[in-house]
Amino acid sequence: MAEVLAIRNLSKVFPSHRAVDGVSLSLEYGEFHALVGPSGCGKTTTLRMVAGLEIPTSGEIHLEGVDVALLPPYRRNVSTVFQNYALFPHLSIRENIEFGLRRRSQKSDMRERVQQVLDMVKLGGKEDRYPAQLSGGEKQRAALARSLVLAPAVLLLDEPLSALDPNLRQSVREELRALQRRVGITFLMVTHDQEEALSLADRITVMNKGRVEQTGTPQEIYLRPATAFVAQFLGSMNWLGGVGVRPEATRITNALPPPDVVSHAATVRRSLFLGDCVHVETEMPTGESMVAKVSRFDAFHEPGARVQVWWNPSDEHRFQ
Amino acid sequence: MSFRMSLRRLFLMPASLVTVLLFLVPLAIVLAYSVMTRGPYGGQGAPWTLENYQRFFDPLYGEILLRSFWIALETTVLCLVLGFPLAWFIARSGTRRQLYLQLVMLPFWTSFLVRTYAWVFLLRDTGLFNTILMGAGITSAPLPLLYNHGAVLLGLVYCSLPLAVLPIYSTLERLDYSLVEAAADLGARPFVTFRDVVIPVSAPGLRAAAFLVFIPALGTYLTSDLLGGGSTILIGNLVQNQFTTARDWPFGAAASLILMVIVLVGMKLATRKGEELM
Repeated sequence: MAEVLAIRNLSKVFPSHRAVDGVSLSLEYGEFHALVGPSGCGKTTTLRMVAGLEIPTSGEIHLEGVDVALLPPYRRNVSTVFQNYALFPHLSIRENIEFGLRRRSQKSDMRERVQQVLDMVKLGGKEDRYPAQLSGGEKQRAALARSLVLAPAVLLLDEPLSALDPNLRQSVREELRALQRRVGITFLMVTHDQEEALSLADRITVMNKGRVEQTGTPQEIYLRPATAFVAQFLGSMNWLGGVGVRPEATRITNALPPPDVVSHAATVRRSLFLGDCVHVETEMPTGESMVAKVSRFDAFHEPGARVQVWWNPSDEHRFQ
Repeated sequence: MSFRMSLRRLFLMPASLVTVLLFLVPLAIVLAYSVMTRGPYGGQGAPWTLENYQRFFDPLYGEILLRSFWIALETTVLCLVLGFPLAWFIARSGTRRQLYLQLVMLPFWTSFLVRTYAWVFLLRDTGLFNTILMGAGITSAPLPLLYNHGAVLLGLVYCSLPLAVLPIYSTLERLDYSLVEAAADLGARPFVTFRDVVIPVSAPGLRAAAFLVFIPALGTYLTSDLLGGGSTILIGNLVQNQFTTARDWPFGAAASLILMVIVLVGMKLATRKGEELM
């Protein structure tokens, strides 16, 4: 497949620190790519360099084959949905959406295009309101519409769901995914929320300390993490003698464990009821602790109970 | 509840007392004077008349009023044009903001009169500027820098600039910079971003700055007196003269009330319904 965006060896050095350190990244047409990592890992700076809001210290940003690294934002065919949406407060929703079209002198079929994106993000009928009159979810959709209407080569999203309340986030996430599929525009999204990245993206790039740790599909990243950092950042991990096992792959039994598995005797330290599941924390003979994520329909394990902790050897993760 | 209510009213008392005694009562006296007749030796009394108001519509006074409006307008425009970049610079200079703000307010630590007189010493024929210009051989005779329209404008702009910078600063400081980034992101060049986003979003601050500069400039009399000499009579000087040398208090009272009404009507027109002044 053809690349729409290719980032090569991109770096950004601020007076105080090196924010991005030799990042390379490649996006295919129509993919939904998530850039994840802890705060300060350089993911937002990378996104801002693609948008043209930061000038790279070194490296290349090829957008549809042209190096745009040093072009100002108004000369790039990308558009950003800002974390706080950055809707113009003095303009109506329609005027906000028209803003980019007017700047690009695409006024001929402006009304139809605006109407189209308004319907697409389900804001039809609210186009004459002002940003202050919209709810958080509506503002987010308005910001999305303002970028979508330009049909950019790549649409950049900076933590698009973080300002929404948790109940709303789930449904907006699904809408965002469906919308991206429908319009077929390449999305590059920055998020610190691993679940968001796993559920939304076709491919994920995990960043840490300004560098790329791993790029891959959600399954690859979660099931075959390349580094201990990736393993720990996406999902959680139990560590036993340098070997990692995911809590949901960690099992507990009062009886004998099945044959051909790795098993250890352990003591239950406590059980944490989390509603949809139970986290059972156990103490291994080595003193290390392992958490097993079990169904609430499984047997309840009292603190102090002697149990067997086991897992399949194929669920072990080893890193250098 | 009622205790708190009465306490709230009590807190209002000092300010309302000052307002009534020192503003409303004098205003009523001015209003009364404005419909009296001037006595043969100064002073004022019966009969009641509207003649003072009619006199104001003489073309001579119309010209003074027009000139006052013009110079106040020039002052306002210059202060906004000079003040905006300065306010932008301060609002975006991080931890040094406080220092810059204090520097902007520094002139207020000196008397207005002293500052205006300082300009006289700088601008007069034997003043600093002319001494340097002639000493350097750039001019052979002193330039007429003082006692003209330009000198008054200079003095007004100089004194009003901090009043323009502060309200503009306070809106720019709160300006969400991602709006500027969003405009550029959507394809707006810097000038378009400035015209279509920065100016409209900071309009409340600009409007407040315009009022703070325009209204005092319209009523100024000291600056025009000291830096304009007799050449630039403004409405403020006219009023001042009626109460001093001309000893025509009724006319002075009428002129000042007319000025006040004009300012109030202008403010009402300039602030659209539902908008705050500051």
